[in-house]
Amino acid sequence: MTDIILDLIYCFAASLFFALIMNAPGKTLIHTSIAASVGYAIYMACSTQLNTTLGFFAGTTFVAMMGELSARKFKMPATTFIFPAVVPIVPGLGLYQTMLALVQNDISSALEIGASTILNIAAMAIAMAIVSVLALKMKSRNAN
Amino acid sequence: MELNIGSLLRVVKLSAQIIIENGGETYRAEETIKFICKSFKVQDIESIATPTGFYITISVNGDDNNTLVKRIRKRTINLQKINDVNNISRRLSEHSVTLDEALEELEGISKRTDLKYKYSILYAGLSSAFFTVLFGGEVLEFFTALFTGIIVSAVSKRFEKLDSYYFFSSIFSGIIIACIAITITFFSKMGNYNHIIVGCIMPLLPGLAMTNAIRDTIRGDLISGIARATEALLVASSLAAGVGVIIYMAYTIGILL
Repeated sequence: MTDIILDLIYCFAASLFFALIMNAPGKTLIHTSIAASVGYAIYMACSTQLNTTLGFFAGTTFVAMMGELSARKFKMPATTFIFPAVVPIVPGLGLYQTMLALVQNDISSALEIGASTILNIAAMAIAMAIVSVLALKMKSRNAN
Repeated sequence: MELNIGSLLRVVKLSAQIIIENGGETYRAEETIKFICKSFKVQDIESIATPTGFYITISVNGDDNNTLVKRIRKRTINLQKINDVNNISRRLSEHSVTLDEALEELEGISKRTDLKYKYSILYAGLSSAFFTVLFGGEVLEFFTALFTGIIVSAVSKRFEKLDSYYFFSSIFSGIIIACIAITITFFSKMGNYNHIIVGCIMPLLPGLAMTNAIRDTIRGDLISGIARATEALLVASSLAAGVGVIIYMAYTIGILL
């Protein structure tokens, strides 16, 4: 349990500093970092209990939804919120392991890890796409 | 009031330029152009924006066309600037600022550097360090990643003026990260270089390019979507190549087993 809480704190700090490098507006920082930690928790829970790809999907969906909602609330572009918050979920580890297997001349595991990394990125992309299409629908209904 | 087409075009150009240069979606640039022009009752507005440049044609009375082409060479990420342009376009459409005032503000935004150099490299280091502990690093890994992140950020700032900025900065970042991580874990005989490398790679991965590629493609901006996806692929693969070269050399020399 303490491990999970510590991980969430690390995730919070990492995305906070990441948002600071990207010069995110000051009042959005806490929102994004909390969304990032909760999204990461959802991703961890789903990928350990159910399925890794599903974890990427669920985590990204949460982050993107929070981003769209905060964008409405603050009247700021949604990317400002989504981009720093989604960074902890991006499969950097998968990319690195693929490369490591390639360097070690272990082609079969490179293909295996590489394919699952691409699948995970695709899951993130689909999650983001679904949420942004829904957000567009919401927007056009409000405009009418 | 007579509309000054010259300053309208300059305002529109500068706002689109700031949005694209600082990592906004291209549809946001197009919509900002449309939004500002509509509030000045321009009859015809056509704009095409891509990550490498944009074209605008406006016709105020329906007869004469004014066209503007702008090439974009340098792209960084600065969310604050996108937000500021958003605010200015909103205020312009409410006519609470005049075109000349908006132009002045936009020029200020485009010139200003928001984050001090020392803070930006410090934040980069801290972000890498926290990602490292998130992936299972301990105290030694934390401080190594902090140091590595600072060095990488300082070095890639040096490459900013180069034309092939993305390729060089990513490949050199990869090389530096792998070098420092492997050297320190080898000589201290402690720690795991994998955690350090993954933690330091995380902030450099092309998350924004990927996000924007998806958002642009969903909107139907296929050219921008493909351009962003290419950018993301280039950055990710050159990062991996940089790290891979060093790890391969370490295996060959026999430092890693």
